[in-house]
Amino acid sequence: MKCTYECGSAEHTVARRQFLGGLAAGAGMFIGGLDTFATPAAVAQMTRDQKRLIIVRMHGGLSQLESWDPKPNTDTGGPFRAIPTSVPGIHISELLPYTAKQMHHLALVRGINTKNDDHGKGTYMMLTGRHPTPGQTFPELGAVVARAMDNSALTLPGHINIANGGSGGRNNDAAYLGPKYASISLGGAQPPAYTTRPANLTEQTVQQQDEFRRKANDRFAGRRRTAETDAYVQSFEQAQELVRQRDVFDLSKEPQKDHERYGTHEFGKHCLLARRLVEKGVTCVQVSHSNYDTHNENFEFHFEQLGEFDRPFATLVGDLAERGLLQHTMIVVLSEFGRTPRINQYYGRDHWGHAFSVCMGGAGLQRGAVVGKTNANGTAVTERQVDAGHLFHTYLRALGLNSRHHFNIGGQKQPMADPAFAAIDELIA
Amino acid sequence: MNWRNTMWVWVLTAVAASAADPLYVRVDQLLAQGQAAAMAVPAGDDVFLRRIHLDLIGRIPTAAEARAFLDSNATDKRIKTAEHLLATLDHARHMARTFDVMWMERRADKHVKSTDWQAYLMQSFATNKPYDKLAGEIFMADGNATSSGLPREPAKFILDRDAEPHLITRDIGRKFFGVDFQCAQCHDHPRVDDYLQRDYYGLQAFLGRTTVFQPDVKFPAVLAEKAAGESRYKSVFTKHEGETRPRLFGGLEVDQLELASGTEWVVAPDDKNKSLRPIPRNSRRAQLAAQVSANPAFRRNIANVLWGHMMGRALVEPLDGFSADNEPPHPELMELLANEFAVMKFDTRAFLRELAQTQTYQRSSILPAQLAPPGTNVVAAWEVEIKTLTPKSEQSEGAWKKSVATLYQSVTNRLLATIELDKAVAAQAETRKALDAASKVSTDANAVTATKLDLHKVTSEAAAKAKLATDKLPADKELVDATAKFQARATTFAAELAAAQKDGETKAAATKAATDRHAAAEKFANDNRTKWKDLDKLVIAADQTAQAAAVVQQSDKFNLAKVQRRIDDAKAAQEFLPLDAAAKVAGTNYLAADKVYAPAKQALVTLQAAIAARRDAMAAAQKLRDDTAAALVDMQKQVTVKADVTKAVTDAATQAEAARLKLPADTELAAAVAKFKMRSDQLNVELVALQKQVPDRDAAAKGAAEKMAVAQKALSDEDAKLPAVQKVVTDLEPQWKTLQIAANEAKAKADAAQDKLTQRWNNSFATGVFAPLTPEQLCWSMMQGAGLVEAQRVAAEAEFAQKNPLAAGQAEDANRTATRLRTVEQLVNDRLKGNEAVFVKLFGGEAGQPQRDYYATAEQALYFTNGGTLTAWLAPAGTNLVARLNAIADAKLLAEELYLGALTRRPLAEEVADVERQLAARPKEQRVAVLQEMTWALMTTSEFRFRH
Repeated sequence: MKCTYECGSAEHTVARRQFLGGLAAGAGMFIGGLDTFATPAAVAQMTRDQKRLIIVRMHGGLSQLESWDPKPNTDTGGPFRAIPTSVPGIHISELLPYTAKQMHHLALVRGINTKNDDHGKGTYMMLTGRHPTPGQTFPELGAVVARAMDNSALTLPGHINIANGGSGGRNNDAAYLGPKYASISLGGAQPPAYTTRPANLTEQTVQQQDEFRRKANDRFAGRRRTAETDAYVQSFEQAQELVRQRDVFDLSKEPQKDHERYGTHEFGKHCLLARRLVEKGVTCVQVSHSNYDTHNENFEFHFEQLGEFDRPFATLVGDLAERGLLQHTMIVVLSEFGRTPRINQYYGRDHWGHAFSVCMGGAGLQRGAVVGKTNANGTAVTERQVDAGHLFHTYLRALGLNSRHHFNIGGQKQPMADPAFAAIDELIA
Repeated sequence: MNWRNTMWVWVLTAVAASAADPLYVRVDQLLAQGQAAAMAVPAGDDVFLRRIHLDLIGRIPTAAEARAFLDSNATDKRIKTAEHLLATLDHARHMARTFDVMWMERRADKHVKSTDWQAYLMQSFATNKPYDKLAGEIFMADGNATSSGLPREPAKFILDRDAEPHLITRDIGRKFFGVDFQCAQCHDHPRVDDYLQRDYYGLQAFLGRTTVFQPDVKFPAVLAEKAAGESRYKSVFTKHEGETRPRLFGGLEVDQLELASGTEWVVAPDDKNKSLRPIPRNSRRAQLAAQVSANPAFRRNIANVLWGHMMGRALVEPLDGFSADNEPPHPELMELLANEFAVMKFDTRAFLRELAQTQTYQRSSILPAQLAPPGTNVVAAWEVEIKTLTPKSEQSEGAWKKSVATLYQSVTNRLLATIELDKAVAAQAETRKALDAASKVSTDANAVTATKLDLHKVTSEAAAKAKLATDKLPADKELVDATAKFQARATTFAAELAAAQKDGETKAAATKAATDRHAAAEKFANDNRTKWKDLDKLVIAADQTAQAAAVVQQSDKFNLAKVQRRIDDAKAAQEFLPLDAAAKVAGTNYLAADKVYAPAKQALVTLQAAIAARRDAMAAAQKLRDDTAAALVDMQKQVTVKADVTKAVTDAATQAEAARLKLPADTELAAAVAKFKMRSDQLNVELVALQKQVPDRDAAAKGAAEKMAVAQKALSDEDAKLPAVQKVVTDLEPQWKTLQIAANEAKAKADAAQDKLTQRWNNSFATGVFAPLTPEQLCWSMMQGAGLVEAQRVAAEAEFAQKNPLAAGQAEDANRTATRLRTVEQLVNDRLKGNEAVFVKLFGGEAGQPQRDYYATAEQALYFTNGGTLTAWLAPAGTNLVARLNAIADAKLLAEELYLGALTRRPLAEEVADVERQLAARPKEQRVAVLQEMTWALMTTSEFRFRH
């Protein structure tokens, strides 16, 4: 008789997992041993309700004046007009006509002052919500969210960085949270590393060796089972699940019509892939658009770059809303800093972290809101000034997390977000 | 075995160890005293062998080594093996790797290459350099071997951190003193009471003067040190301000040599020569190196690190979290180890040997079968103890806090005095300047006076002489005039001299005043200095008091925590036992129910399958019946139609024949009639043929109908059985289901309790520690298990022999042995080290982050499955594991080789059976594949992944 107490029948397996699933919730550690995954229906439910995050990184420093906080007809405003949006009273740059129509899903923070004009530091601050300190590196937003949202039912990697290059291993952005939460670069049409079976590896071999491994593990676990061995055993089941789900990373599976709607350039493809990934249950997806470091010809370059950005981004927001994903998915467009109100002699704008903006939407955020204000020509924040740390808390809160919580890292408490800051409460729905 | 355990426990508990006993005996003694309940039994030889290899050389043993050890009857084989391993270069390599990862945390190289640094560490461990000396070199090395007399490599610790003062302060604190001061940089530590901002700046004072010196990027960066710069700080919370000389955590401020201005430098900085590296006479980093070996925190940290390295878990975790609020499970043991290591003159190898010899090291990682938790009365007594210890601890904590407040006040007072002293010294310098100026003016005036005096003397003497002459020649008008001129000059000069003398007196008076002012300023400065020194004495005294109070508060807290831990351990055991029993009962109940339910369910499933089969048969029979019936009807229809046609044609033929008979001459008609006749005959034949088929079809239809009836009956017979069988299942199912859920829940609860218990027993070293292998250990163990390491070793030996041939009959001398061992180890390492990188990437932490956390990711599993590397290692080649297995015909022997090679133990009977089954199940041509699969499987088990 196959059915024994220890390893269980199919019903037994599911029952045990569901029970243990409840027990282990929030522990961040897999418990469950040899079992396969919960019922497809349970996974589907979990996938639907799970919170997700899309980070759109505008490399080089997006000009707030040509995007979220235009100042037309002032000495600093530049040549572009401001246009009305789908939210009465909110105007954004005319370079973002499609995005303007999605404004009722989004919110703007216009009073950011990080007091920093350095690319590296700015990127660090905006992605970790901390000020750089020697001897200490903090995990980036995506890794924090992937770790905080981790649960044993998730079979896909929690943190993916869609990049222009090839698909590689993990990036170094999880700091003490460890490689499991570091982003995996996903580029081209390649699935993540090692998800392809080598030609000389037969399915029979894979099955046989796994079966032998399971048996040996069972025997060992009989007397020496720990949460750590469970996690190790579980990682092999996860691996198989990942191989089964490789199509998730295959953009060509999206309909041709959508390819056309998003556009054939890299950023369009990346936005479409981001949609696919969050739809399939990936917790955090990063997309990048480059390059906004416009010391020369700021207006020409923003015209071009935002022309490419606007439509796919707006399409993504619209699709997420239409598919009911936006209520679970937060999307944020951020940059290491903004650009100087002063226009330099090369018609450029320089680094400026003293009064800039971020656009965000979805999940637990207020829709169509604007928080913070700059003066008439954008040279200073005049209302509700915030730092990168406030934004970080806000993202976490919008995702339903308590940003005052700690991670337990090797016996030490590490605050999820910099305790010196707090969320922008008025943005939380 | 049992008898020996009993003896051993008896020996430990009955005879108190004395200072004369070897360290390992005292360690076991202290540990046994601290336990709440039973400890694990000694580990078997196989477990010990795997453990000692992993801990001392960083990889598992070969199958041959395992076999030899397990088969040896020597009673001292465990300690002999430990000693043998400690003497190998593999051990030095493993220690170098371990300390590199611990100190550098896998940072990317910056100024000193990892390979050079690792070679330096390897050399240090190979020569068993005392640890305090090694640490001293790391602090003192400046990257320039000529000027410092130390190799460049140890400077990597500071150089590769760019000598960033806060970064090196924090990391030296973390790595060498076991304390993470990070938050104490800006204020007293918010979460760890006993980390003061003052502690941070005391350490920083040793390091704050150090900078990276690289005037020309074409030459390697080195370290330079300034001759001045003190550590002054201000709390962002309390605004308390202080200043400290160099001071180690748990130590006092180090007195500084007062160097006269201008003598501070060995090589003074030169503004005109920027490529000249200044070297101070007084190096603060050299002071640090000189201070450490006597410092308790330094000693404790390394004892803790080495204990953790050996035991799989440090006494204080995390390694940089030593504080009064993070007690070691056995505080006396921590102190004993710290002191004894210093007594051993920081001899790492001797220390590890002692640890290897402890029963603590050699304990099984499995919880004892009989936990034997103390009775509730014992626990109650401990709780009473808590009640007495708590106020004591609170009191000593209060005393410590008070002493810190006094210390802070004295530090503030001294700082104010420092500020006053600085002012006085500055004022003194001012008066000195004024005095110097006045003296110069006075000297100048005196010079004028001297000149005037000289002129006056010359002219007045000349005038006197001239007067004598004119007195003799009064008529000589010219002479008289000349004399008058002399006299006039003399008079003028006399006047000028008088003026100059007067001026000189004024200036002298001014100088005198300046001298007085300066003397006063000097006295004021000296008074201030004396005052400062008095206040400094108060600081030192207050510091001493605070340190003493800290020791008392820590000891009290530790004692309290120790009892509390014992209570919690006992409670965890008490909680676990009923849950475990309940889980066993629930499991048995479920199994009993399942024993009844499962066959019933099986019968139902079988019956349902049978019904389904019958239903299929029935459907088939029904279809056949319908088809045959339809075929019969069709045939009958065909016969009817055919008969109809035949009749018509036959009638027509008959009528035509009648007509032809009336018109016999009509040949055409005759022909037509013949045609009719022919067709009629033909049709009649056809009709008969059709009619003949009817009975067949009829029979077929009848047969099919009968078959269907049979199938119908069979189905209804089975269907009739269903309710009864279904009922049995339905009746059993709720109970079975309930018991199943209960069993699952009970098992989950028992598992959780067991996790907690295992963790607690691990933490207090009552069981052997269960810990994941490091990425390097995992990589090298896989290579060893697969046979790569041995293959490379053999190849390297051959290479060496070829290059360094021995003459026939010549024996190898000690020199050659040493060279050979060194060369072979280096070659093996060089050729296989490249494989570490992927393991580090997949299993390690991020660069610059702590490297001791455990991660399990799908990628790791995917790498083993699809990465190709492990599979390639398992392709049979030479004498690697799979090739060896392939050469063994007997499945039993094969299983033994497999388990010894991969898991360092002999297989259990059921495992041998598994291997046999696995081999038998597949055709011969797949034999190698099967061997690879089994080896792969064992190497990816938890048993392989962990040290246990």
